[in-house]
Amino acid sequence: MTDALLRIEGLTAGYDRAAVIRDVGLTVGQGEVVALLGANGAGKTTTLRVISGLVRPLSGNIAFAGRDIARVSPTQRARAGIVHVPEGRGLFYGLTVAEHFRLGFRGERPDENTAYEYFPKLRELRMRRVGLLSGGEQQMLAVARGLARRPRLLLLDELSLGLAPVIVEALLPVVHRYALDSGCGVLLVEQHIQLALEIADRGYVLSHGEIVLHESAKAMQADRELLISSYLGERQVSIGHAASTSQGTASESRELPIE
Amino acid sequence: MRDVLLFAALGLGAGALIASIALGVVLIYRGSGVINVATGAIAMLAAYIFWALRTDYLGFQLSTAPAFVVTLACMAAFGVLIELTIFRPLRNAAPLAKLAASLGLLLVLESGMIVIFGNSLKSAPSVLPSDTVSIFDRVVPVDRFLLAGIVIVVAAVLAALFRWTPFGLSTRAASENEASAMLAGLSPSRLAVANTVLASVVAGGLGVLVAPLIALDAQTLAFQVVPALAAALLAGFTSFFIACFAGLAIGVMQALLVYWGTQSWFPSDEGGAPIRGLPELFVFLVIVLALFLRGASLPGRGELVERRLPAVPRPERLLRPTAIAAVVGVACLIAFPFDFRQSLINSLLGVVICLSLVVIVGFVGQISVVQLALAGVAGFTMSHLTTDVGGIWAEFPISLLIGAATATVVGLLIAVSALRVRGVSLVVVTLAAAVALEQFGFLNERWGGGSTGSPITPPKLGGLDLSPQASFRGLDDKIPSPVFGFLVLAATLALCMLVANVRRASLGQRMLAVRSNERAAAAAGINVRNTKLAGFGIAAFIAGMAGALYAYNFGSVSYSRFGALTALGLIAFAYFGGITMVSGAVLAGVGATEGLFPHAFDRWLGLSGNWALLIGGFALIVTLLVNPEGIAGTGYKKKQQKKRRLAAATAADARSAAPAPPQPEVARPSRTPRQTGAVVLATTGISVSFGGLRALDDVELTVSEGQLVGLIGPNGAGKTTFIDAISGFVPYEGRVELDGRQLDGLAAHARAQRGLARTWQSLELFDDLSVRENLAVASYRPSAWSTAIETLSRPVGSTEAADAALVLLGLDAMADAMPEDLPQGQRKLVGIARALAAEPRLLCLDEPAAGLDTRESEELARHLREVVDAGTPMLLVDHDMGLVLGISDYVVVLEFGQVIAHGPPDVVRRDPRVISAYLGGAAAELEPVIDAS
Repeated sequence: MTDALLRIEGLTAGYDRAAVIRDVGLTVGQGEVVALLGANGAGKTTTLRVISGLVRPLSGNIAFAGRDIARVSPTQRARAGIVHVPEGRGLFYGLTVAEHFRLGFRGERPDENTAYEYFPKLRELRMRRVGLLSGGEQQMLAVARGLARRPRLLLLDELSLGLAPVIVEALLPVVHRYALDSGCGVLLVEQHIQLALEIADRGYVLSHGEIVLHESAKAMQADRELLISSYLGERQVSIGHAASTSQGTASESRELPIE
Repeated sequence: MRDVLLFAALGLGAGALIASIALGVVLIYRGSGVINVATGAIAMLAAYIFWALRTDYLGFQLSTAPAFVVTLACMAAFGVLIELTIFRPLRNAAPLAKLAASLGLLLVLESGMIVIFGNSLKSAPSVLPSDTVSIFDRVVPVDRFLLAGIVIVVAAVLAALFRWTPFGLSTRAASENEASAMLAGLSPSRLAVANTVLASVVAGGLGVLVAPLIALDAQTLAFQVVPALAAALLAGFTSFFIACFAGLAIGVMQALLVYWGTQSWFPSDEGGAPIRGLPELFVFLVIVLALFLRGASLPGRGELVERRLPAVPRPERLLRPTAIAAVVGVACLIAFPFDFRQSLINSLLGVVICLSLVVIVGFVGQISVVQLALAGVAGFTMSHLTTDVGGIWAEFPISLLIGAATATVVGLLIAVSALRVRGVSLVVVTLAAAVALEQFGFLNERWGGGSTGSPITPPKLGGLDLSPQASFRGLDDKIPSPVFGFLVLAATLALCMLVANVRRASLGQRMLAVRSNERAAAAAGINVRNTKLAGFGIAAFIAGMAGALYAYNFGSVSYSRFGALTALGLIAFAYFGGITMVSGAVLAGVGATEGLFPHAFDRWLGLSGNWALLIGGFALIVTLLVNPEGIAGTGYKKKQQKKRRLAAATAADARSAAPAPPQPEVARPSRTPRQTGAVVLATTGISVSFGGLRALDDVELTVSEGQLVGLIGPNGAGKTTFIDAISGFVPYEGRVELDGRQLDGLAAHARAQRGLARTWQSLELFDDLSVRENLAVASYRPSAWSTAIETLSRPVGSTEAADAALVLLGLDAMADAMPEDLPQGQRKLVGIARALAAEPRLLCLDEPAAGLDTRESEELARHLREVVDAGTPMLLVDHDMGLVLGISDYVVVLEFGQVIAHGPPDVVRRDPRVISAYLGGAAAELEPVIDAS
């Protein structure tokens, strides 16, 4: 697919020269919502950080809108339209909500009104310092600000972290709607599979730093056993469709082969 | 009363300068995270440029307004220059490196101005009107009020700039979190340049205005940075208004101290003059107070720190290099002509004082500017023993030992007050202490030598004259006598061996562990506070010895030898030589004031000592940028790289070989469990809150002998928080008992010493120590007395428990490798081995499998099971469900800080609440799938 918005191939990256993700490849197309799933420690956050530039890869290619961005700084990637809403939300606790919408590089005018349209509650909180907002409100602001910057590629890291399910169930459809309206691509990292698959078109599963599954969201939702086994760390998960025998056989716990 | 107000008004002038430098410091800090101690020198630079433009110095002359504008333009350019050449390349370096770079810049500017303009006072041309105004029948120049007014207006403008403009908004964001700022499309490095330029213009402009009031010389203006730092500290390096008014207040206070000096009730000196140095002492006390009130740590910026401090190699052989040095030294002392002999002796003294820096900066990792002043304390103590006490107390070696002891005591006092202070704050405190000691202590007629200096009894031992005046005069028959040189040489070599042995012994390992990672050191059972104090104490003692020898060298002590500027020069040369190694100190000594290198420079090239300082400043900056290891370190590194490649290759071979068969009869850290089933760890009601968030809520958990308990839960459930709580890194409510004894209220290192060992998610190995040393430092816990003995004799090396841990985890082949050479999987094993080497009662593992690939985590699982079976109960936290469920005997599940399930692994695995917690979906839909199996 030459028209993929984001294309990653053979990506190996980590911290302190130790690889956390190995030989990862994925694509995100325009207007597409792609879910990146996996247990914690699998390397999902690291993948996003490599895309936004905070982590430099050990090897592999990254192309955004057809251009190789390996040498592009995080600042420039952000200006090119890659918007990363990180796990820590990327907010500034000393600034007010309104100031967050004024914050931007030269020539950028974040679309405050669109943001308030999608998240009306924020309008009331305009003058509040972000450090004083609740977790849910902060997350709303983080997403709202992401949308207000008219992203071409939106990277969302664990939106649901620390939030009550009710709030998350309200947030995600907004993201979906935005992607449909604007044609931006969304790469969504989530630990909660159900919520992610409900709005996604395709999904990847990361396990121990490697992609072990790549399916359409519908197919994933249908084959729950596969998902559960990948989360509970069953070693029999393989690329493509796993045999259903894995679940039916041993009734005991699946011990690792240790002496 | 009127006089008080008069002096207060006069003090506004000096206060305005302090305030403007403080504003510059705050600007640079908010813009780039650097505490730039050269800000005062920048103001001085502007004043000199203005002076040069207004007089005929450059061959032409400008009138006031154009000269002012040109000066400001030059300052802006200068700001760009230093940001681009010095601070931007250091953006990812450790904060101490950035601070050291600003010290280098201060040194360059200082000595540069002296070299170019000479050291005499210049009369600075005034800019402001010199009208006077009449207040309370006294005549006060109006410029003081104008200056204060200007500074207040500037502060207001800056505050407004930061509050309301996009530039200010961006800087505020970047100063809070650089990574998030980059994600927002901001460029923190461009913001840093802009803020530095602004700071240079502000400080420079006000420096020009204030110069006529004070004095234009190379020192006064530059060292106004010390009270400015006090004001900036009070402002938290954030508030422009507080920095401004604090600066004005300090200036006023200092003027009042001068005024009270004229009063009859004011304590006076020997000669009837008022005690000097009270303003400097006052500033020092303000700094200590500010640190106490504001807390010792400065706001972090979330930067991505990459570069570490330079490595600290372990000296292998001591006797041979020492013997060679002794022979060479004796020969040179006898053979050299007298002036080179003197400079050789001066160099040896430089080596000693640099050894003090090696211990405090290289080993403990704290920059201290006060070491040279401590040498002065020793020297002045000895002069008092000579003039006031006399008799045997003034004789060698008693007077030398008392001098060194006094220096040690003063050094420890400073250390204790600065214990909670670390890093950049410590530099500020020690810089202020150095200045205060110089002015208040050494210049004092009664305690110090006043401005002339005071004599010392020359050293004699049992009738043998050891002083520079001794009768044996060397080949050219001139003083100084080589006999004195032998004394200094002997002392130097002895202290070199001491410092090298400190590094080899467990005390040095502990210092390096603390330098590397204070948290992990505490968790390994190291008393961080006492280790730092030991480091400060030893460094102070060595500095004292240097001071005593200085005193014998010159026959008297005077304040000029121990000033802050010289101290900065020493730090610069020490960094350049290699501040972590004895050989670095030797190289640095060669460059020390009046040492071999400057003397040769002077003799053969006709360049004065200030040139040496200037070169030293540049050398420091270049060293930090290009070669943080220093010269000695680079040579060592090349030698070691070969060695390490060899060790790493052995490690790789060991790894790729088939898994080793079980080692027969090797001593394992096995303790037969006292009673199978006896409870080792009992925790009840553990609750932790962060602000309003309840991270843990009433958690109860026990671990028994021989048991591996797994603690799992989705992200954010509180698993790591639980380990942090029971190991003492996070405050909590509830009860923790280990072997029936309560741990609540104990500090982290005390819990570790009681037998609670833990590992870290982010690994936190001591990068400066080899694998073997990492384990030894956690395992060998000698008393203070044993430590002292070990430091002075043979180092212990390793313990049985540490060696056994290495074998159990398959690491014995790579014991001498450095952590950074090992692959991630093995580094994790080293972390576990380190916790195991302490022979703990309970081992808590925090995410040991994070980042491991499938094969590595299988290997890890095997090792963990072996550890538990060998007799160490374990609490295992990890996200890898397969790992935890596969090897645990019992599992506890957390979600949102509460226990939602517990039991044997196969029960927990099927618990619908657990599944729903992880998958976040309707449990009902999933149940049938699970139950079918």
